[in-house]
Amino acid sequence: MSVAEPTDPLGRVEPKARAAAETPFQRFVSDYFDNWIAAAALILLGALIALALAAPWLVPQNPYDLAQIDILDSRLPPGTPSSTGAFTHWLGTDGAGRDLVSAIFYGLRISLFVGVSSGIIAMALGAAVGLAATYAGGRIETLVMRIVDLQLSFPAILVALMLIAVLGKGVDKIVIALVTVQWAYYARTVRGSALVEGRKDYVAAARCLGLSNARIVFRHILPNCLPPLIVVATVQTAHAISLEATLSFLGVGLPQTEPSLGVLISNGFEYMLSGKYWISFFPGIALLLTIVSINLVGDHLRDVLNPRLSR
Amino acid sequence: MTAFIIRRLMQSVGVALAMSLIVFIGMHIVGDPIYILVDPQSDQAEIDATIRRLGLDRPLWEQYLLFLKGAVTGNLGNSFVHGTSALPLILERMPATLELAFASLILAIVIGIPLGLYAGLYPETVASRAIMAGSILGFSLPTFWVGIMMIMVFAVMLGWLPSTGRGPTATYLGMTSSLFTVEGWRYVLLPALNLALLKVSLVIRLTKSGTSEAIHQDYIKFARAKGLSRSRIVGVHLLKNILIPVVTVLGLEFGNQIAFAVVTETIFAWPGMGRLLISSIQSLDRPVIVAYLIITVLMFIVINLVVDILYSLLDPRVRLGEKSA
Amino acid sequence: MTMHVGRWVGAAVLAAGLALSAVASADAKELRIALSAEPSAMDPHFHNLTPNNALNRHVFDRLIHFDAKQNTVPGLAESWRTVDDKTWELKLRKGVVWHDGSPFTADDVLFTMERAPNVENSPGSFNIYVKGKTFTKVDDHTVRVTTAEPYPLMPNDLTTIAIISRKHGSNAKTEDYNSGKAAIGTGPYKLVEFVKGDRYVLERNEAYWGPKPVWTKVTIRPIKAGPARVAALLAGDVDLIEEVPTTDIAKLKTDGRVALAQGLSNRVIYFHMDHWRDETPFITAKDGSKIKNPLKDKRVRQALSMAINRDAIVDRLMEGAAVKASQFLADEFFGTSKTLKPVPHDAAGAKKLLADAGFPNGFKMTLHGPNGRYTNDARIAEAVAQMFTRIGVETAVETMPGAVFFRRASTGANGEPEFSFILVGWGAGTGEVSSPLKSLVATYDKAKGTGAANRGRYSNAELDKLIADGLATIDDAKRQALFAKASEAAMEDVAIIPTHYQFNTWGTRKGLKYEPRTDENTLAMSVSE
Repeated sequence: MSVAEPTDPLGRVEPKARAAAETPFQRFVSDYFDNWIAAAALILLGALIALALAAPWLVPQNPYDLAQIDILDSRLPPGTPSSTGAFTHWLGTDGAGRDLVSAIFYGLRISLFVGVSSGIIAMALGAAVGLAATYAGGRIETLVMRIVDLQLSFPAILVALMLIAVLGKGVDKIVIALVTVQWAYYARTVRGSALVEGRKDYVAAARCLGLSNARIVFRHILPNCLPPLIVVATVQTAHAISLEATLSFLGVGLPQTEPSLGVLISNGFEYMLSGKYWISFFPGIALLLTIVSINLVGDHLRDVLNPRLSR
Repeated sequence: MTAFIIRRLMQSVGVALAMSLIVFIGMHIVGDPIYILVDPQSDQAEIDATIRRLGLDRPLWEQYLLFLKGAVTGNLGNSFVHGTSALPLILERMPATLELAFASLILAIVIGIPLGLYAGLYPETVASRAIMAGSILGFSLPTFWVGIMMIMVFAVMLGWLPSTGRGPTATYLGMTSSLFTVEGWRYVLLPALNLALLKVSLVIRLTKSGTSEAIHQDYIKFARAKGLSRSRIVGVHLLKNILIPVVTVLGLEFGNQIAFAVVTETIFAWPGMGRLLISSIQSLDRPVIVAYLIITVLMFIVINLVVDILYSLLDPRVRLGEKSA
Repeated sequence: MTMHVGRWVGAAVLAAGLALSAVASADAKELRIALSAEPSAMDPHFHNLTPNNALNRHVFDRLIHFDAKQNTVPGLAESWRTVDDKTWELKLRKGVVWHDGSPFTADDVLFTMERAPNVENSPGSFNIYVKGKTFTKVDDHTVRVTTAEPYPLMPNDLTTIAIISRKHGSNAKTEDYNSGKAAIGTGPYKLVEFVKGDRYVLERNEAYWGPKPVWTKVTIRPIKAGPARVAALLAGDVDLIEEVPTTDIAKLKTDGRVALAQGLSNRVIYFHMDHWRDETPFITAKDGSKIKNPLKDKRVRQALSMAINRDAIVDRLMEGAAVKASQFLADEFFGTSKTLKPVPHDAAGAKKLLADAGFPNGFKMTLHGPNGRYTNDARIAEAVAQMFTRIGVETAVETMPGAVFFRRASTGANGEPEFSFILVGWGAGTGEVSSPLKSLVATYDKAKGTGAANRGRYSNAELDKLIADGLATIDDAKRQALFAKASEAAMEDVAIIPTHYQFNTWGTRKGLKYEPRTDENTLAMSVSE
C-alpha cells in the first residue's frame, strides 16, 4: 500500500497542521479513517474478499461439485438441516439443491474475480495506452484519444451486449467484454493527469537535467497519475461486478452451472412469486453489500486523494 | 464549422462500418438460428432450402457486400426471425423506448432536485446525510434486482400499479404516446422509476454540490441583503442557476437512458427496442443486431455533435476542431 | 353456452373499468391473454412456429382441425375419405364466408397450397406439409389430393395449413397480413390490430360457421418472463396466461384468485447420444485420456437410463407438471406401445452394468443442453449430471442458448453433430408417433428425408423397415401395430433415453375454464366461463 507515497505535489500544501510529524501514508490512513462510514465499508469489503477467498475452507459444500449436491435438497427454506444431516442450510437451498451459503460465497468469488481481473487488465491496458499516447504526442495522441472519446460516448452496457453477442457466453468472454468496455476510462484518466503533470515545474526541471522522455513519463509522471487511477479503479470494479450481474440476469452472461451472484439472482427470479424469496433475496443482498462497500470506499478515496476537496 | 461536421459524420460512417464488420464476422462464428427457426419435423432438404432462402449459404464476404449494397439504399437487411426489414422493425419500437427514457428523466428531476436542494441547504442535518448515503445506495443497487422488488411490492402485494406492459396510447400534436393517457402513466410509473434510479442519485449529487457552492456566492448574499424572502431566493435565484448544469448533464445522459432501458424493458415487458435487441441476441438474429448497432452509433454521434455545437455557440472560448483537449 | 345475466353484467362493468376502449356494449366480453412467446407475423404461412400458428388459428381455419387432444376433426372440410391408397377426397363445408362476406370455395384451397410453401424470407416454411401432394378441384366444394406413395398422415398434415382467400391473398406479402389488409380469414375471430411485439387485438366473427366463442373481444400480449406473466395474472392485468412456470404451480394452486388448467403435452424430454463415432469428443477416461466410445455399448446406455431418478425430476424439478416417460410419446397418443414402462431408478444395478461393460470406475462426460428452450431444461441437465456422477460417470454440464446449441448439436463438427450426450425435447406436431420415429431414430438419410433430427446418428435396419412400412400403411390398426413395435424396438436398444412428458399449464382468473391442449396452443376459443 505504498501507492500514496509520492503524493500529488499539490497535496504537500498541508490542510491541517496536526500532521507535521506524519508520513504522507500515515496521513492518508488517518484521513481515510476519519469517516466512520467509509471505514466500516472498507472493513466490510475486506471481510467479503476474505470470505470469498477462504470459501472452500469455510462453507459446508462445494456447490459446483455435482457429487455433493442433490436435487432432492432443492428449494429448502432457510434453517433446514441437510438431507445427510451433516450441516444446516442457514439460508436455504436453490432450485438445483445447492446450499445457498456455499453458493453465495462461491458466487462472490466469481463476481469478485470477474470484477477485479477485468479491472486490473483494463487498468494496465488503459494506462499503457494513455501514457504511450501522451508520450508519442501529435497525430497518434489525437487518434488514440479520439477512439477513447468515441468509445466513452457509448453506454457500457450496449458495448458489452454487442461483444457478448459476438463472443458467446463464459467467464473469459465476460472478462474480455468488460476490459473492452473499461480500458478507455483508464486511458482518459491517465492522459488527463499526465497532461497536468507534464506542465509542472518538476517535469520541466527533469527535462533540463536531460532525462529521457521515457524516463520522465514512467518514473515521474506515472506515479503521480496513480491516485486518480485508484479512484477510477474502485468505481470501475463496482461497475464491472454490477455489469456482469446484469448481463447474467439478461441471460447472456455466465453459464448456469457455476453461478455468479447475478446468475443466482436470475435463477431465483423465477421463484419470487412462489414465496421462495430466499433464492434471489440473499444473493441480492450479497451483491448489494459488495457494490455498496466498494462504492463507499471509492467515494471516500476520491475525497481523501483529491486535495482540492480537502475539508 | 461545416468542415468539422462533415469530418465528424465521416468518422461516424467509419465507426458504423467497422462495428458492423465485427458483428458480421463474430456472429458468423457463433452461429445462425436456422435450427430453432425451422419446424423440427423438417427434413434436411427443407433445412437447406431455408438456409438458402435467408442467404446464409453464401460466403461471408458476399453476405457482407450484399449488406453494404442494401445499406447504401437504406435497407439494412431482413430479420431472420421476423422476415420483415430490420430497420422499421426497430424504428416502430423506438417511441416506446423514448417515452420510457423521457418519463424516467422527468421522474429523476422531480425526485432528485428537491432532495438535492435540501441536502445542499442543510448539509449537517440527519436527513441530508441520509439523502447523500441513499444516493450512493442508488448508484449501487442493481437495476434489475430493484425492478423485481418493485413488481413484487407495488403490483403483486399492494396491487396499486400494473405489473408489466405499456398502457393505451393517445395521439396529440401528431405524436402517439402512452404518456398522453392517465392509464398510460399508471403503466409507465414503475418502469420509469426503475430506470430513473441511477439518475436520481446523479441529480441529487449535482444539485447538492451546485447548491452548496451557490449559497456562498455574491448574488445570493445580495438577494438576501435586499430582503427577499428565503423561499424566493431558493425558488427563483438559486434554482435557476443550478438547473442549467443539471439539465445539461441529463440531456447528455439521455442516450444512456435508452441503453439502460434494455434491462428495464426486459423486466417490465415494455415493448421497446431494447427488448428486441435482447431477444435478437438470444436468437442470433444478425440483421436486427447490426441494424440496432448502426442506429445507436448514428444516434450517439448526433447527440455528441449537437452538444459540441451548442457548446461552441454558447461559449466562444470553445473552438471546434481536431484538438478537443 | 348458458349465460348468467348477473355475472356477465358484472364482468362487463369490471371490464369497462379496465378496458382500453371506454365503450362496452351490452354483451361485450373481453378476454386478455398473455403469451410466453411473441408471434412473429400475422401471415399464417410465414413461419411454422407454435405462437404464430396459435394466433392465426383465431383468424384462419384449416381444412381439418385438431381437437384439444390432437385428434382430427372437421374444419373447412366437412368430411374426407380415401378414394384409393394414393388419393384422398375432401368435401368442403358449404355456406362458409370470409370475413369480408365473399364465399369460400375450392379455389381458395388450391391457391393456399400454392402460396403456403413459397413465402418470401420465410424462416421455416410449410413446404414439408405441402410437397408431394397434388391438389385438384373436382367442383366448388370438392377437392382431391393425390400422392405418389400411400400417405396415411394426410389428415394430420392438413391441420397445419391455414386456408387463405385467393381474393385477398394474391400478391399479398407478409406485411399485408401484419397490417391487416390481407388478414381476411374464415375463423372465429377477425383481426383488429396486430402491433408486433406489443399486442394483438381480435373481435368475434358474428358470421362464424362453427360454435361462436364466448368472448367478443380478445387482446393478446406477449410477456416473455414467466414471473412477470404470473404477476400480471395475479394483479388482474390479464385473464389467461400460458406456460405457468413450474416453480409457481404449487403456490398458485392455493391462491383463491386464480385457477389452473393442466394437460399432457405431445412433448417428450430425452437424451440423445453418440451412436456412431468410435471415439466421441466429450467422453474421456477419468484421468482425461482417450477411450473408445462407451455409448456404443448397450449396457452403458441401459446403465445411464437406470441411473436417472425420474421420480425426482417429476416431483422436484417439474413440481408435478410432468409424467415419467417410457417412449417417444405418452401412451394416450396414436402409435405408441402400450407395454413399455418407464425404466425404474436403480443406481446399484447401473453400477453393475457399467462394470460388466468394462467401466468399473466409470468415465468422464460432458452433457450439453439448451438453456431456456424447454421447461427447466438447464436444471434437468444439472440434476441428471448429479445422478450420473453418483454411479461413477463424472458428468459436467454445459448449457447454451437454443440458437447456438441446435446449430452445434446438428452440424457443429464439420457438418456432423458435435456433442456426445445431449438433452433435447421433441414435440410430435402430427399428434402421433411417426413424427419422432422418423426424425429421431430412423437412419440419417438426406435424400429420403429421414433422421433429420437424429443427432446421435442411431441406425438400425430392422427399425428403419418398421417405420417405413408403417408410414406406407393406410389402415389405422395395422399402422398402430407397426409403430408400437418400432417404439419397442427403439427402446429395447436404448436408442434414446426418455425422461418425462411435459404437462402444459395454463392459469386463468377464478371463474374461467381453459381446456388444456396437447399441442401447446393457447386459444381464446378454449376459454369458457
